[in-house]
Amino acid sequence: MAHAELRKRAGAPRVQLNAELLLPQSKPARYTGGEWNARQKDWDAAEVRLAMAYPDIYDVGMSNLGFQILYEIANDIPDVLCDRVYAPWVDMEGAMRRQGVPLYGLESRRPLAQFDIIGFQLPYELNMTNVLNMLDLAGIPILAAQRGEEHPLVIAGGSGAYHPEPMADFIDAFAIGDGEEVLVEMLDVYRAWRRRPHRFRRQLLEELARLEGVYVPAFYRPQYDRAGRYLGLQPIHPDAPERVCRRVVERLPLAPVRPVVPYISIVHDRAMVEIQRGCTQGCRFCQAGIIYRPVRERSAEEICRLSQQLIDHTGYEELGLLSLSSADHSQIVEIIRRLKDQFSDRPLSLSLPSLRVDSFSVELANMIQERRRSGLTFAPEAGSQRLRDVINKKVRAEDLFQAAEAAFQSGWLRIKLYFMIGLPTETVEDVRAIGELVREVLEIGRRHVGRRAQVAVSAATFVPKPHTPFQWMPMVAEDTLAEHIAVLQDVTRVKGIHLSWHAPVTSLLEAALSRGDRRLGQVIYRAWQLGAKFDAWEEQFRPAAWEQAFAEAGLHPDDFARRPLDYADALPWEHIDAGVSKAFLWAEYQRALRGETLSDCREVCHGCGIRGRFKLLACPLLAEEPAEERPA
Amino acid sequence: MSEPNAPCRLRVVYSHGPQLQYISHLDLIRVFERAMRRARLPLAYTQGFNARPRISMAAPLPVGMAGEQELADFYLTETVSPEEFRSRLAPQLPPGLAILSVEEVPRQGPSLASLVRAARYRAELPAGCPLDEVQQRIDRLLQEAALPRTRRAKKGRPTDYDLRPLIQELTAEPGAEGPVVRMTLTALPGATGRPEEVLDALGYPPTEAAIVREEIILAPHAEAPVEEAEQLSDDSGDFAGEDAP
Repeated sequence: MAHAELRKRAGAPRVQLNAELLLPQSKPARYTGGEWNARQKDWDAAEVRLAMAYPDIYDVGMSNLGFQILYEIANDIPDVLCDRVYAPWVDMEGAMRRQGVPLYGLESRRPLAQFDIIGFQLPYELNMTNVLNMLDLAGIPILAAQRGEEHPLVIAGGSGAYHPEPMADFIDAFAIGDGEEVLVEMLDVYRAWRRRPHRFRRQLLEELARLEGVYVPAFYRPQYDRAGRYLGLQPIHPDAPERVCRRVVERLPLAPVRPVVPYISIVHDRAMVEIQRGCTQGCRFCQAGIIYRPVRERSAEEICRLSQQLIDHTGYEELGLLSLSSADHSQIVEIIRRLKDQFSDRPLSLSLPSLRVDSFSVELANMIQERRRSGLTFAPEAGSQRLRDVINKKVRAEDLFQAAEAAFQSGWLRIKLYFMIGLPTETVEDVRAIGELVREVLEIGRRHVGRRAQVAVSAATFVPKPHTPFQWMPMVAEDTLAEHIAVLQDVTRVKGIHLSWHAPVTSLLEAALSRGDRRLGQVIYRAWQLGAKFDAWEEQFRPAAWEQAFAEAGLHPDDFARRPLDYADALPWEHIDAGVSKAFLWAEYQRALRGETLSDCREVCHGCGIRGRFKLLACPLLAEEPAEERPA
Repeated sequence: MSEPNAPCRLRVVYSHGPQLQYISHLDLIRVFERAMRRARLPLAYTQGFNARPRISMAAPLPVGMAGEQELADFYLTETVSPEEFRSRLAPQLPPGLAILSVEEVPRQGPSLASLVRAARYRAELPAGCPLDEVQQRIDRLLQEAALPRTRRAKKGRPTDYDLRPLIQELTAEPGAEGPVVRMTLTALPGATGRPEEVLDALGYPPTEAAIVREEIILAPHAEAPVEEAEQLSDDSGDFAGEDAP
């Protein structure tokens, strides 16, 4: 530990939390840490100190499985201390700024600026401003270019890192893809750099850039033509690869079994076991369906063992079996049967999100919910068969009706249906078809449970996402969207049907931020200066701040959200290689426009490119294949 | 509360440290529930649609306060000896919660909450407050015949009440940093004195003092329980905005 003495250990003391600061807050226990399974490591003994940061409130961040996975992995490294920090809600932020309290790690209570690395999880476009706000609350320069040797390294991962350009000005290095291995490698690089007698930040960035899956934006220069069209990124450093390929763990690593258990109730207050990563359904609007390829199942054996440890170590009363499409797991029935048997001695409820639209899924739901059948959720996504073919959502109206029949018959009273509005090629007729579909579902319900039958319809605005077949599509025009929503309201105005939809105004921003290039950095920065934060929270959203920020930069959200793109156009996220080939995405886009579907790739390989890119012997990687011996 | 599925009722005295002073009463019940599940102790649940753990607190500890001898009854579906209960639950409690004693009580007896009569509190004032000034203010306050106050609730209407008859004892003494105010306040349904209100009446901002509930005083064994029906004010605990974002 000789190097440790060389380091400047002194500095600001622990942050003192007092009643004056905490007592007026809506949920003060968000800010005090010390929960069950929280890791309390010795600050002085740690060689690398990492603060994992989530740009939304505690209640949301604590519900994120990826965050818990990385927290446990980093803390399992003996000389690494990993702390947690979430965005303080506006009441707490105000109190912190008034009292001059900097943002701090929950366990160590050390100001964030004293950490070596700040690692942001980027789940979603609409919390980008929170990243800036958190850096500011920590007293860390917001712009990467303004940070020096004395400042923490700021890294970011998560699905938001797949289109990193809008955040390129603020983040030193992005980790693309599965984080389990690359985080450890980044910590190794950092430790080695830290031990050097003379350290320059640039060396650290160079070494990080040499890691597979790490993108260092400072080593690239964006190019535009005279009209302001994006032409691509030019690597300006020998260590910067032209394209950064995402990381893939071939087999799902053993998941954390000691997640932090919150004191307060949070969004998903339950134990979570990931039963499968990736999805073979091939829905064309879905980014997760591409960037988590290939599908990797966890075996029933391992799921049962992990679940036992999870429940023993947390005391949770609910266990969520997580995946993008639960019913697709080849051993799903056996998993549920075994878990029910295993936990028959105590009250434990199972939950199974992301059910397919079919009667098999209803059987699964019946298995896990023997009493109290209140609500079931399905996602047909579009109203007409034509449009479902366009988006490759392989659901027929009969499937939905059969599922509804089975559900109401077995005592479920409420069915919730998810749809998207503004899908590619959508017409008023397609929207009207939603009305026919949900009215028929309600009718089926009435036949079985009478007037107690309810149908909830939830409509989200479609946002074309990078790395999907619809990445070339513009977002639907404002007036078309307004018209389609009006039609939807009209066709669902029936007693027993309840409609809710998300405000399209945030969807436009979401589309601009997900499809934007590096010029959006100044827009985000300016919008934050003008007060934008918590943009996903409707009551906090400040459209005027964003409008002004775009205008001052001489830009418009439509330049990014609604610009139609062609195969030859440079895409601002193309230097990030998600493993699926551009040719496949384009072919899928063309098939979509022709209304042609593509089958589930468990049935036949469609050559998306992932198999060759990662030299996978089998794809999808199913649980029943002979697994090599794995350490327990 | 005497449902057939709970043959065993254990009364637990525990301390609730300052680490946990910002969690609400409902959160605390969940903390105990999950600790019981980790300990594999046979906690009883209420019957019905929304099964709730059968853990009854003597009196909710307000958010922002620590408690040195808190009281709760745990109902179990099987008989567990107090010693075994303690040895299994203790290692599953988070830092800040510690079991001081466990005893078995008759399962048909009156509810714990109905036995509460009063509570003793200690408030540590900041170093800057002179002790003689605190003493003078206490003397003056105790001479008042009535202390009309309005309790501002986070939800619901503010209520007017008289604080004076709820103060059974109020003294000051020197402490490690600033002066320490000790008080015993009535805690009956509809007539519960709160230490922050006393501090406020003395002219000291409650958020600047560290308040500890030292003890909850129960009725002597012979005394009949107080009915819980008339809960008029002030005994709701402080459920810090469960529905706020």
